[in-house]
Formats: sequence, structure tokens, C-alpha cells
Amino acid sequence: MKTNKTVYSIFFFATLLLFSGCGNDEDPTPENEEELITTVKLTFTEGGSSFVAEWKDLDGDGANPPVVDDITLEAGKTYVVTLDLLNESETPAESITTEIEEEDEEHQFFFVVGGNLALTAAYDDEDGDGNPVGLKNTFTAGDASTGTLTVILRHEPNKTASGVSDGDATNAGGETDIETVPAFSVVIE
Amino acid sequence: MAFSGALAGQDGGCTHRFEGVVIDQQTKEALPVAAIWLVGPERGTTSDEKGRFAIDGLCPGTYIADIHYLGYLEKHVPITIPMQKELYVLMEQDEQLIGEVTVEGEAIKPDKTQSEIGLTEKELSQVTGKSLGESLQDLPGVSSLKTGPTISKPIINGLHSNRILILNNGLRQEGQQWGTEHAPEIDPMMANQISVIKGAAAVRYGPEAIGGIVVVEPPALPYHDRHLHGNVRLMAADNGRMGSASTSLQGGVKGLEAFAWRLQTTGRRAGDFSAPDYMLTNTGLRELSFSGAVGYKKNDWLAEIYYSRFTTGLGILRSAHIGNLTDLRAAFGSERPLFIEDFSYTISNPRQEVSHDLAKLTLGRKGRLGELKLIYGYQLNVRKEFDVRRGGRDERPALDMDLDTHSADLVWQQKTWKKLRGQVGGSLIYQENRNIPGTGVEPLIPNYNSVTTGIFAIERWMESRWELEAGLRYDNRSFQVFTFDENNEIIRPKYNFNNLSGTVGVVLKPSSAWKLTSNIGTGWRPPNVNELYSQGLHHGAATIEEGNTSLVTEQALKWINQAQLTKRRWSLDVSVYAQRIDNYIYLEPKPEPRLTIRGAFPVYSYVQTDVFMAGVDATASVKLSEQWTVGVKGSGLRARDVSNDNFLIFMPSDRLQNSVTWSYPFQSKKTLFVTASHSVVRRQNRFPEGIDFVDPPEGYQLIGLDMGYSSRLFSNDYDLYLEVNNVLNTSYREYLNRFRYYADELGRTISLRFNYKF
Repeated sequence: MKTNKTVYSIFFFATLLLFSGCGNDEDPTPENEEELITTVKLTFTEGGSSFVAEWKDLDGDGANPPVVDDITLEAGKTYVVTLDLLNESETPAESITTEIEEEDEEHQFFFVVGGNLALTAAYDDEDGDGNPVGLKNTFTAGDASTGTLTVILRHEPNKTASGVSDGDATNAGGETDIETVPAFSVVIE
Repeated sequence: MAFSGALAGQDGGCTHRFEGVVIDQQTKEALPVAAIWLVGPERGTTSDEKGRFAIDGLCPGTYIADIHYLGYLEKHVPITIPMQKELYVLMEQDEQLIGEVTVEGEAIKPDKTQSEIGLTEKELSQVTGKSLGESLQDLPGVSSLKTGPTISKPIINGLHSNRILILNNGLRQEGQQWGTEHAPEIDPMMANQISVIKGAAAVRYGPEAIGGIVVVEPPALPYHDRHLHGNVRLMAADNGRMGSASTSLQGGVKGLEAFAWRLQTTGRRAGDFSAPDYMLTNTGLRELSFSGAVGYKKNDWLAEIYYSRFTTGLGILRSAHIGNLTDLRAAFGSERPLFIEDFSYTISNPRQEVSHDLAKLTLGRKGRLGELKLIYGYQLNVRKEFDVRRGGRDERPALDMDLDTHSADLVWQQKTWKKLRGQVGGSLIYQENRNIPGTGVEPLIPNYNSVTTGIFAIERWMESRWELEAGLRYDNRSFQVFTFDENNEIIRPKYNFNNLSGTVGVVLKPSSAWKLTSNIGTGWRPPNVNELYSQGLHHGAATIEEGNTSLVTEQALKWINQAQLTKRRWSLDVSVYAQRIDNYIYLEPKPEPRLTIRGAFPVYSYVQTDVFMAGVDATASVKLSEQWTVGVKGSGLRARDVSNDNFLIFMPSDRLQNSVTWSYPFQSKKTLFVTASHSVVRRQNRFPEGIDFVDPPEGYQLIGLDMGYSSRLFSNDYDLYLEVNNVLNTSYREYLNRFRYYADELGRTISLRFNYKF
């Protein structure tokens, strides 16, 4: 078949075209995990003194375990507790708190007390709709006891569901952006 | 050849001869080895080199002569014995077989020795408005892997995604098919026939055709047709307030007989679907597709250009977007999904925006030695997935990938020599996967370049009562991955895989009522880039998936047998298969969950094992009278992880469907039927413990109702169908739906369809 020649040449031409089309864009561009939160920072203020407790996992979804501070409170005292969220995988560290403040209707923190810990948390802020957010709170330490404190941040919760504005996450729905596992170890002296 | 017909006729003895010549209608060439079968006397023969045939010893009477020739339309000619003269059989080329179906330029209808089922044009018109996965899910042995009501992927004999192949107008569909929530980007309305081949078919189609192939075939271009033809297909359904419209137009060109063209388009739109007790919020869909073809065919030359574009926007059930395992457990523990809102057509995050462009150029030349075809294909798959995000990032995709594929196939279809016919060919596929920067999320899979080359030969020996086929193929796939190591340095590892595949098959036709096929074939699949390199959190499943760079090739061997019987009132189709897959890749949970700021996540990594699968798919129907037909179909599959002596996850459970059809016996071309069906799906009790968070759901039973009426309008055919699914509005969950953790399946759905063909 003399036409085979024609067909073959078309085939090779097509093959040539195929490879000439490839650029050098293979190398990937690194993506900043912009929504990554590495650090939850709790600032406890009582009277004139204050201290900070941090929950930190610098490698995000990576395999390194988080580093968690212990918290010691004084029995019978009331603390103002403010929260700060950071992305410390970037330099300088980026504050995520502003993003939460801007979208406060879509976010809510929950404080889950475990063990025998005599600690009560109450919200001390509200969003545009008058529902709590949890960036600012009042923690009241009861009798001497030990236990745990887990901080949960939910994105797009149903804030009007039963119990949610009182700090119960059971009916809140939404998805969890933060759940500090392992929890903070807390001692009330 | 004048013989003593008159004499024989007088005494009525069985001494008569039936003879004739089989000729190509267009070229007037004789057709050797055509099969001739006389219904009644049940006698058959084949034509000789000059197309001649004869059957002796026949009794007087009127019979039907069936004449078959590969690639030609079957002929059924009534004859009366004794005959006055010999019969001239003019055979018409079946454009469908010879023309476009040609997967990689193949003139033999694909895989005749393999078990095959499918949807005809008529059956396709009854599923107008459904996606490809949904259209096929009622075929025995085919099920659907779903992610909510709109994302559906075909499963063939328990295998899906990268273990099956979808041929889109003859080209391997190249999308991000590794993802279980990535549905095939094909409009089934562009096809006039969809077939499912259940055997391992690596020899014809190269890597990844381990479990089977879905062949989506548009009709052949209407060469030499001066008239304008086309169709309109409309569909509306109450659930999801869904509507779909599809139309096609095709014709020749006046004065330019060698040219033909076709245009086709489909649009689909749906809002939130509903389960019996609640709305499935954010499950809407938008879809628009288009295809066009132009062809030139003159003397021995053929040139065709085809282009299609598919675009879709899909909402993902809002309640399925969860943060961590606690959320998943809460979602599963809740009777109802956590987000339920009123019906809306709005598609919010999470959602997918996907487009797929496909262009194909075919050049063909017929000569003394057969036909040579060159097919060039280009595909561009663009996938963007949008997540529920913080800080006004909702309009920025969390996943943004382009996949470019170039392919070239050269196939020589040999001219039949004696009873041997075959094809030899080669193929080349070049692929680039690119993550588009700017997502603010680490990519799920890295960039890569991949080259796949293959050469193959398949030969077939054709006797009138049996055919034997054997084939061999050699493939090479090499690819290079571009990604970061743990120190954020760019690495560019290379991979190279080679494989030799083979197949042997046989077709037996002991009588005109029976057809038996048996095929044994190998398939292979190099590990996919996601299995080697995926790293990170899988939203919706609340798992961390880890790639494994030391994976090796999956090797499969599948033996499949099919028996088909069509005799008077009976029709039966049974497939039995057994398959072994070595180095089967799957996700295995690691003992320790990973602690992150979002909570604890179970970690899964890709590992390999050897598996064995076997199963039966069957359909049977009996026509009890002119009006009543009963049918039954079902499938069963058993799959084992042989190395670990365990079950395999996500395998379809046993299912059975009974149906009764009543049809009105019109004397004209009109038809009217009503079908009631009852389906039973058993609970999947064979699952590996401890891998899934939640045990498989209970089994369920569904009632369905179909009505159809066909008639003519302006001397053209039209059909009207009314379909009611889940008549009793039963709440149930299906094991193969990945959203079974979150919500029930669809409630009662009433669909109305109208098709008009001109």
C-alpha cells in the first residue's frame, strides 16, 4: 500500500505535535495552607495578673504530636479568658482571630470540662445576632479539683438549636475546625 | 443449476436443494464465509470463496433463512421450498459495526468472546435524563458507586474507578477517575448504544481494563443520506424538580455525497432532591453538554472530526461536610441530617465544577490488505472543587486540577484471509496533570507527566458454528511525579512499568437458539499517582489517607463465561465469572489515630494484597401470552482478601429483581405496556471488621412502576414513558452510597419522558 507512507507520516507528525506542546510547568508551586490553625492560645486574667496556656501542633495534619501546656487555677477565683488563634507555620505567625471576628455569626467556641474539674465557663461576648462567640469568656474555678478542658471551635453551627447558646455543642452541628485533643490538663488548687 | 424441483415437489420428498449467493450490496463483491441458517429444518452452512452456498435434503415448505456476516446487518429472508431459482442475498454493511464503534480502529464488534450486556437505543430513551452511572445500574452485574443523589460511578462485577475503563466514542475517557466522588464526565444521551463488557480486556485497551469496559457509542455518521434526521428527548421528574432536554440533528450535504454531519446537545437541571422524610439540602445539579461531528467518506478514504464538551456543576450534600470523627459519629447518630433547608435550585459549597473537552480525528484508508486507521485524540479535564471555607474563600477552589491527554492509535484491520481475521496496532498516550496554584490548600495529588505505549495483535478464526480468538499485547507506562519532600524541597521521582497481557476466547453457537462464550484474559494496572502520593485529609470521610511509594503493579486474571438462549417464549442470559487480582491496592487503617488541631483522625495507608472474586449475573424472561411477560434478574458476588483471609470492603451485596409486564396487543406499530417490578437488595454481611466506622446498612425492598406508549406523529415515531421509582416511599440506605452515613436514599420519584425521532 503506497498510501501507508502518507498515513505513517501523518502519524509521526501527530506524535511530533504532541510532544512539542509540552511546557516546563511541571514543578509545583508551594501552597500556603491559609486556613491552617496551629495554635490555640488562652489568656487567663485575674485581677492584675495574667498567664497564657497554649495548645500547639505546628505540622498541621502531619504525624508530629501536639504540645499542650498545663493549666493551674486558684479555687474560688474568677478569670477573664480570651482566645487567640494562630497559624505559626508562617513567619511571622498569622492571627486567625481576626477571621473569626469578621465571621462571628458563623463560628462558636465550646469549652468541655472533663474529669472532676469544678470549672464553669460562661460566654462574655456576642455576634451581630446577639448569640455568643466565645472569644471572650468568664471562667469560674470552684473547689480544688483536677480534670481536663477541651476547646472546640465549630464552623457554621446552628446557634439557635437547643442548649447551644449555653455552651452545649450536642445540637450545634456544623463542622469542627478545632478540637484540642489531647485536652489541657487543669488543676484547681 | 436448474434441478428437478417440480418432480420433487410432486412427491413431497425431502430431497430439495436451497442455494444462493451472498453479495455485498454496495460493492457487489461476493462474501465468503457468510453463515446461512434455515429456521425450521435447523440446518446451516457457510458460503464459499465465491459467496455460494447450498443446503440439500430439504422438505417442501416455507422457512426463514437467516444470513449473518460479520460487520453486516443480519438478513431474514422467507423462502419456499422447492425454489424456482437460486437466492441472491444482498448484504448491507452495518455502519454501526464497521464505522465509529471501532475502538482503536477495530472492525470486529468489540469482544464478542466476552460477556457483554448493554442498553439499546430504545432502552436509552427510557432512561433519558439519568447520568451514565444511573443509566447502567439496573443491568445485571453492574452497580453504582454513589456519593449522594447526583454523583454515580459504574461498578462492573465489584470493580470501579481505575479498575474499569470507559470508552467515550472510542477514546479512553481520561478524567480524575481515581476519586470515588468523581463521576464520569460523559453525557449518555450522545450515544445510541452503551455496552458493558465484563471481561478483562487489557489486550485491546491497555492498562486498567481489569474489571471491564463501558463502551459509549454515538451513532455512525449518515453518509449517503440526503435527509435531515434527528431526535428530541425530554424528561421531567418531581424529585429534585428536575428537567432534562436533549436533541440531535444529522444529515448529509446536498451535492457533496461524501460528507455527513451531526450536532447534539443536552441540558440537565435539578434542585435539592428529597428523601422520604426530609430534603437533601445542596444536592442540585447543572449540566450542559454538546457534541458535533463531520465526516468525509469516499472510495477507500475516511476522515472524521469529532468534538464534545461536557460541563457540570454539582452540589454536595451539606450535611456530609464534616470536620472530624466526632462530627461524623454525631452525623451518623442523628436520625436526620444536621442541615435541612427548604427546596432550592441554588448550588452552594461544597460543590464541584467540572468540564471535559474531547476532540478526535480519524483517518482511514482501505486497501487490498485491509484497512488502516489513525486516530488522534485530545482530552482536557478541568476539575474544581469548592469547600466550605473561612475568611471569604468560598469562591476559591480548594482543589483545582487540569488533566491534558493526547493519544494516537494506529490500527491495521486485516482483510479476511480464509477464515482468519484480525488486527494489529499500536497506541501512544501522553498525559499531564497540573495543579493550578492559588488554592491555599495542599494538593491532593501531585503534578505528573505520563507516557503509555502499547502494541497488540488479535486474531480470530471464524467457523460458522464457532469462533476462536486470541490476542497479545505489550505495554509500557512511565511517569514522573513533581512534588515536595518533607523538607519542602522539590523532588522528581520517575516510575516505569512494563507488562505483557494475553487473552483467549471462544464463541459457540450449537444451534440458532444458543450462544455460548468463554473468555480468559489478563489485565494490569500500574499504581495510580494518588495511591503513591496522596497525603492529607479526606473531607467527607474524616480520614487521613497516606500514599505508599513502594506499590507495585496490580495483576488480574479474569475468566468469564456467558450463555444466552433465545427460544420461542424463553430468553435467558447467564454470566459466571471468577477473577484473581494479585497486588490489589486498598486502604488499610493504621492502629493509631492522628491528633491534629481539628481532633483525632483515623489514618489509612495504601497497601497491597491478593484477592479472589467470583460471581453470577443472570436475567431470564418468559412470555406467558401475547399480553403477559414475567422476568427476573439478579447478581451475586463473593470477594475475598486471600492473603489476610478477610472480606473486601465496598463490594455490592446480592440483589434480585422480579417484574411483570402487561402489553396491549396492537395490530399496528403502536405499543403500550405497563411493568411492575419488585427489587430485593440484601444487607452486605461480608465486610471486613474495623475498617469502616459504621457497619453496612440493612437490606431493603423497592417497588417500581413503568408505563410506556409508542406511536407515530407526523409519520415519525414517538414514545411516552412514565416511571415511578420507590413507589412506597421507603426510607433506606445503600451500602454503595458513600453518603449513607449522613442521609437516606431518594424517596418516591415520578419521571415523565417524551422522545420523538425523525
